Amino acid sequence: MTERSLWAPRLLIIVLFALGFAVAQDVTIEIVGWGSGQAVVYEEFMNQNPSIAVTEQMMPFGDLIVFLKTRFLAGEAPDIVQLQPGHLIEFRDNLLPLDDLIASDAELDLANFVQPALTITIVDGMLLGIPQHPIVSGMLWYNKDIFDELGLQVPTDYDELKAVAQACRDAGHLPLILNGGDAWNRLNVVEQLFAYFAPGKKAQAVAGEIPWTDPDLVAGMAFFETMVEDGVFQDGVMGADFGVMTAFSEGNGCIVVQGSWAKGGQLIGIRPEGTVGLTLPMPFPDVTDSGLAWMPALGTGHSFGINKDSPNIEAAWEVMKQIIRLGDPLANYPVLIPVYASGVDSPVMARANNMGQLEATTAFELAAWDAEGAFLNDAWGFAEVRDAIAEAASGVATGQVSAEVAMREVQRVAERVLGR
Amino acid sequence: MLGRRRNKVKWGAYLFLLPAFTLFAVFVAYPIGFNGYLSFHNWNGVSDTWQWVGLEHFERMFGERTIRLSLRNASFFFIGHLVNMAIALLLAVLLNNPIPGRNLARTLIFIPFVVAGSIVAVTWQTIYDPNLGPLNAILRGVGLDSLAQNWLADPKLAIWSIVVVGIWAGLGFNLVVYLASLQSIDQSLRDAARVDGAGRLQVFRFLTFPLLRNTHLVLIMLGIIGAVQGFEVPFIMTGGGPYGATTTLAIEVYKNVFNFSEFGYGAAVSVFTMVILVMLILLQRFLLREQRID
Amino acid sequence: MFAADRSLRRFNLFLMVVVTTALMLPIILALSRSVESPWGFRTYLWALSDPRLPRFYLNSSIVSAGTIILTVSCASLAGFAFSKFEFPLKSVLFLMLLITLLVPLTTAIIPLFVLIRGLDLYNSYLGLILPLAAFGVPFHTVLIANYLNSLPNELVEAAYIDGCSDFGVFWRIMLPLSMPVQAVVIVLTFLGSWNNYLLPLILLRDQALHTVPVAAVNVGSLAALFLLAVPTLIIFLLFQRVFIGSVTSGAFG
Repeated sequence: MTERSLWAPRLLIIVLFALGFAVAQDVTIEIVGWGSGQAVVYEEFMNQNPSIAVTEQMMPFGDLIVFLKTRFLAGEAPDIVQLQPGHLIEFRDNLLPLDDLIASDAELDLANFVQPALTITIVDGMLLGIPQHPIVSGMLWYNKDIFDELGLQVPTDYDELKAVAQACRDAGHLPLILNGGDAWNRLNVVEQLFAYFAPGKKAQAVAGEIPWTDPDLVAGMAFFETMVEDGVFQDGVMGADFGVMTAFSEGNGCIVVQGSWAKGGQLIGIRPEGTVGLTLPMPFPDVTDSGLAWMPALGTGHSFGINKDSPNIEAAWEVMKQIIRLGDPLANYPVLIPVYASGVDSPVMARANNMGQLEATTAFELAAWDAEGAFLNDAWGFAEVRDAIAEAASGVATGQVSAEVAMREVQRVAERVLGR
Repeated sequence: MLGRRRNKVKWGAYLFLLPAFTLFAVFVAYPIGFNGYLSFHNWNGVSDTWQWVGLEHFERMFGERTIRLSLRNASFFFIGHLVNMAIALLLAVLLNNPIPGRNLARTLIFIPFVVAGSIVAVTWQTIYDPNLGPLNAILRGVGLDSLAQNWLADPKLAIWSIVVVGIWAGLGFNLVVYLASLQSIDQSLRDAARVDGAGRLQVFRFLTFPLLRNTHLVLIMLGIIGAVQGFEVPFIMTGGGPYGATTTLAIEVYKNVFNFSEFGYGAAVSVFTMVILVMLILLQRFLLREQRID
Repeated sequence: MFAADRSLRRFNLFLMVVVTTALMLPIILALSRSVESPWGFRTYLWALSDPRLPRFYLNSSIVSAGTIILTVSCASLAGFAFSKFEFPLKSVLFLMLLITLLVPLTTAIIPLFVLIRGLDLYNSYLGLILPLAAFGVPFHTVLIANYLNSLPNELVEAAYIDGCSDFGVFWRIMLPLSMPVQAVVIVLTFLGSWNNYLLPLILLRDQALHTVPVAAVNVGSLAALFLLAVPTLIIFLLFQRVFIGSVTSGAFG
């Protein structure tokens, strides 16, 4: 309905499948989401279930929410939607609670899911989405080859981090790489600083229970400036673009700020023709000497929900089960949440090029989900508030504004948005 | 000029206008009205209800730091455009001489104007990279370490770094416009002035420069339009940051609409942009008229 | 004519070479940076084998071609009517076009987004072509009308005496005679539509439909970025006289 240009290929695909199986397909399940999709999963599904066709429509995340809302309003929503868990609440009236489906299904057992991940997709006591692709943020990646060459140890507190950064600078490498031009990358660091300086308070501020001007939150923001001033990050960190990430994958940097989703991707040193440096995950250092070894922020990259008004709920549930079983073709965990990114070629590359990294990363992630200080990172609240915090970090890091004033600005935005 | 058959009314003319005015009505006139109406409402872009808020968006706008910075940055872009015009004029005077290879030079200088602005922006992002970019590498290479800068991260410098990109990308355009105007000026006028004993500088100051007045004014008008509606180069290079230091009105519209779903506020900023633009252009027209009386 | 001072000539040549080289330096630096990675020129091989690039060229070609065809037809018809016909409200309508020249595309992105979405044209070539053409048509109508005004009316009158219809006069007489200005319209529309970044940014969703300027921002490598610029450069170098002439006359239009 939206555009002619997509109907043609879509029709073609359907026709081709119909011809290919020489079986009339009774049902078509439409999946809408963002990212690179997981065609492999659905192809395999259609091989096993010739009577169900699956079409997948992917779009940039920025368009997804508006697109879905429009289609739900029009009563033309897809059967399955892929959402970030934080957005499930906006669709709670449109999505089917999945608890009963799982409970009555002989093949699945709720106990086999990673429990903390599952809680992320529960809204008002209902399981509205199946989490996929658990992620750990509040972690870093380091280039082990460079560390070995310079005789460095993985830093565990702030002084060690500073020392490592200096040693890297002296050796002509970029120290801790942050793509400061990217709001999400900045927020990954800010979130960790909030966690260490004001444990639990970010969630309270998001909920409007305490103001963002809380002294502990301000202290966390102020420490971001300290880190910039101490030269922990590369120079000109706020003007950086994706080029600094490329620099890391080219072997020019010691540590990089990226979550677990970067594994197996281009960024973490896996290129069509091999790796520059063995890159391994490491915890975000304990910058406050809190004694808590590690406070990883945990989440799930996305989740899948079923449209409760879908005319084909049964078929959609079959597809969902396939997503749960096969969502990651390379998952070799004893859990039912596929863990690996399904980027175009990355898992294959990861397996082929660097098994050592893959295994180390797997162990690291499982440890993160078990870590004592681990906390669930559901969301930053409204987009305006998230943007205001990212802006505050940018202003603080470039010396344009103090942490107090910057957080007052965040609070002003939060009040305006909450009052809307 | 309207031809001599002016008494004969052609009703068929409307058929000829129909396609153009249909496009015009749907995609130009309607959007202007839509923006104006929307700017007094709250709307999230999806719901059926528009909530009337009166002048709230405009009040908010005048208190926003980012809007003040946008206006400041527009004036910096305009200053950059004036510098651009000056360089282009000097180059045009130079290339107006019979120098071998001048057409090649003109072609090369014009290339950045032909290439998409987004490609230019990404290219300069690479050049400005403070750690691995060639600009700082050269400065360090020739011993000017102190001049190596965080070109896009330093809040005072970032906007000028972007202005420089604008100058570089737009120079070819200004150059060919000046060059064409220079070539349309009768060479014998200049020769006559030289015979009368005027030096080269004097010929330029008192003859060539005033004769180019129309060209100056056209370019100034284009500069105003470009400065007020600047978007893609800062949007791509810095996203308007750090902390709004390089933001523009169009970036604020984009952010509020497509990141925050604040369609009403975005419309208000759009209306404001258009009002500023029309006022500036009318002002410029007014100044032009004054000059002609002189 | 003054005998040109030889040393001044040399100085001019020297100055020209220095300035031009300085202005080309950013391109040279960026090109050299693009092969500085450990993979050297291989990044260009990867970029060349990137299946997305031909798709981006194709998307831009379709959008540009569509915009050019639509702009040329609408603006020629309207320009002809304004130049050679008399009809009520003529000056009012013409003034309306002149006023819209002051409306920049950037201020219309919200209504355009809402409108294109409402027309079910979001994420389609046509949804991009229509507004691109609509924002070009007023300017080009004025340009064509001004050009046709400079042609003698006797040609039109003679054609009518020969029994031509209104459209016949437009099609057989005016269109062929207006080729020089049509070239200008085509070049300016090409530049405007091929290079537009904002409209595809807000009106397209699928990467498969992205045009060159939007693709450039996340294409991933400098090598691919420069390959994206190549078609424009080739077209420009082939038709540079027309380009430079068009841009000049466009400025004074």
